[in-house]
Amino acid sequence: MRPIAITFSWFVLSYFAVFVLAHIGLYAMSAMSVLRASRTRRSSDLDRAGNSPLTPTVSIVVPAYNEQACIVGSVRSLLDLHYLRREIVIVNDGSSDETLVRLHDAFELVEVPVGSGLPIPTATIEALYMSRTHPELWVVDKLNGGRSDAVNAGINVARGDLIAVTDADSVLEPDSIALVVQPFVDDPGGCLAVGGIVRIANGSTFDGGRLDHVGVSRNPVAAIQVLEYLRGFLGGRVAWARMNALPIVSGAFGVFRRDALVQLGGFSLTTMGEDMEMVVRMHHELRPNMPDARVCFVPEAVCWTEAPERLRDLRGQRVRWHIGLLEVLGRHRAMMLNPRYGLVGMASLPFTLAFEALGPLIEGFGYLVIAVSLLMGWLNVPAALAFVAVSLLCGVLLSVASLLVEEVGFRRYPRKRDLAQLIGWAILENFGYRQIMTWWRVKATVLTVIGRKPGWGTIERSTALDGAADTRPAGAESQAA
Amino acid sequence: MSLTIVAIGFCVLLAVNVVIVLGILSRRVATDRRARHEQQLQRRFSPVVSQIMKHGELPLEGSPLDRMTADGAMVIAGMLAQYGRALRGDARRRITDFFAVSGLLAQAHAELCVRPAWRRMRALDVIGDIGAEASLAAIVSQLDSRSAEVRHAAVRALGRLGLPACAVPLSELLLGDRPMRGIPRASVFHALAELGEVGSVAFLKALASADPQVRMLACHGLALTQPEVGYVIDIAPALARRLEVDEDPGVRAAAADSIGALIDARVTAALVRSLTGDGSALVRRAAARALGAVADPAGIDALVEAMGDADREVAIRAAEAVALLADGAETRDAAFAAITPASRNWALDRALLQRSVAIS
Repeated sequence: MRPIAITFSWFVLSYFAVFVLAHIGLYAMSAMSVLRASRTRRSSDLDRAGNSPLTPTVSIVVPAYNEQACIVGSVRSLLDLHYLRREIVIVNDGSSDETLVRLHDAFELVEVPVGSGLPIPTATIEALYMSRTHPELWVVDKLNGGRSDAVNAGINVARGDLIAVTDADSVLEPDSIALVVQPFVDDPGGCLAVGGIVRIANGSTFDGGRLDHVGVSRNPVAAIQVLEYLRGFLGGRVAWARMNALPIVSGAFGVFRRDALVQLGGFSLTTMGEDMEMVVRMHHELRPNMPDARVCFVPEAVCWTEAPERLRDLRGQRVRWHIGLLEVLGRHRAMMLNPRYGLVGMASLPFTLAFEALGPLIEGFGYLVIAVSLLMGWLNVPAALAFVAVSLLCGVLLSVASLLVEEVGFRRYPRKRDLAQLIGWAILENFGYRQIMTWWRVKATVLTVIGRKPGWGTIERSTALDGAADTRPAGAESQAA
Repeated sequence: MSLTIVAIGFCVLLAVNVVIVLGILSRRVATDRRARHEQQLQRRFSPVVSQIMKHGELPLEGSPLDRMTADGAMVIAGMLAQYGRALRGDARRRITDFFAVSGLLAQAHAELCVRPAWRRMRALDVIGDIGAEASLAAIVSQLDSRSAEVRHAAVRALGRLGLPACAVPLSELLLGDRPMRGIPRASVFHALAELGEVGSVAFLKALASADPQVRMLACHGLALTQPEVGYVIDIAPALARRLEVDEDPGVRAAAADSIGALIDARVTAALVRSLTGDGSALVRRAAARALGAVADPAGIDALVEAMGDADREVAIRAAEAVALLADGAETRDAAFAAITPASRNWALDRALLQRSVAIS
């Protein structure tokens, strides 16, 4: 057993070295990209894009399931977006509450014929409504079929060249659509999908569906998620997008070419990671015939979303995310290390497999081996302690590096107190929080292997976004299966 | 051995972490200080900028511009350039003259020789907004820069400069005679469109390009520049020809869209042929919308027929066009005559309802 433990420790050491070097490379690329963009940002570009005949029409599709508490505020905030060529399609996915009634009352809905020729099969659409007060607002009332099915129904009735998907419990910044559409304007025909950044709303204040003041929540679970989101979006996605190897566009804020979505048959109904699955499927099925096609990321375009503040809610979310990740990697395993798919096949998917899918297993197994080796007296205690310290410092490094990118490029947390709090959590999250995450992801891996999927659960919301506490299914992946 | 490696790793990581945290904090302090400094400069120069805007010129001696730092020069250049961006004619010329006399233009040109690409980009943006004829050669030389962002900024600056001579390099870029090297085609398109009449000449030439993307941009560009061209160049027949003969559906659709924007009834026949006979739904959609915009009674029968098109969007757009024509004083009778009980379908019901809601 001892040689096995020693061999494993060398393997873990090498894995760690590769992990750190790969991430440093990604973060450096992101930092350079963000720095350059921040120095050259021009508001006049947005004005010009708004008046150009190349500016596409955008249909903002919002699936809604039991969102009575926030749906009206959410629609009002979407109606305030600074983008003229847009329509808003709310899809009521068989809500059992008053979601549809509230929309009727607030926007004077009028029923119009649904018609024929809907390109993607979905659960039955019972009615299609347009608003008397806002002709650009459409509401689809359909039988419950889950989030993906609701988005597909929205795609069916949408008339824009582009489909922007967001959630009813998220808030888009007024310029977000204009920003996220820019790559489609710059490269008409070449851009398949664009993602914006998702930021944590907990701790910030909103007034009438608009961001009033940015802050960091006092709740540790929510505050640490700010760092997680910064690492995910600013650390990874900026760099992968620069290499045209971005494997995911967030379901909370992503824009896709409608013709590409229709060609691919819409979002998958059988995976928990439908947002990533769609982007990987685009790379898998479309890009071999479209070598110049791109999937982009615009970190300036912001969507604010509320994060779970209780570990119980967070557990359900993270287990579902990890199962979704494993499902997507399994479904598109043919792309792995296949040069036909460029850097997606050769770099980003193997990276995701090695460090995001298998990382928790290796880390969890590492903790186990250390414990067993200590008990058996096989371990050089100073070496083990030094290794644990190195691994903790690596965790801190990734968080502070993403904070640096944030500070250089965006500076969205103006209060020094918030910045200090985030730096503090970058250190503290490594003592307990990180291990809990690892355990949940190991559990998700086991559930995937034995073929069990968790239930959907509910998340208790704070009042940050809609001004009223409520309990409803969890955000992006909330709806009934 | 392994302990040594891990210990070295520990020390390196600790040092890197400390450096990054210090970097974040010092950046925060520096950014706050710079923002305060720029605000002070803007407050100081605001009256001067207002005076320049009102009177055209200002004696340099004794004014706040007399002993201006390099930072101050770029701040006032940025403020004036913002006015320049929004102004035309004499007002803009006054700003241009002031830049030349005060030496600010020379300072902005000097910025083009510095190494950091972002400073050259910033200078190009200011120079473009200033609009001085003397800047043309300097901007064109930046089209060969090693930085794609600088080349992109040079294209924008040429558009803002607005001189007829700017059309030459831009046209070369659009037509592929000069390598694009990372410049978005859409930027060249927008820059040419800002040039108005000379831009439309370049677009007309680009209609014959072998690249379908270029032909598509040319179609859109012609529609965009047309109001400034008037009848000097007859655009509609050229677009109608693209609509009928181009092999690329994207180009045909762009041609139909542009014809719709021109509202020229001479090309109704071409639109009708596309709506009823084109194999691409993309083209039929554009043709249906264009026929609605052109509002020629000769297109109504084809539109009514297209309400039954297999493509949902073609049917909806055709029905919307029919509903639009049913509202027009000159087309109302022809529209109602064409709508028979057999041709009335969900698409028309929806379009009529939409129209009534929009009107109400």
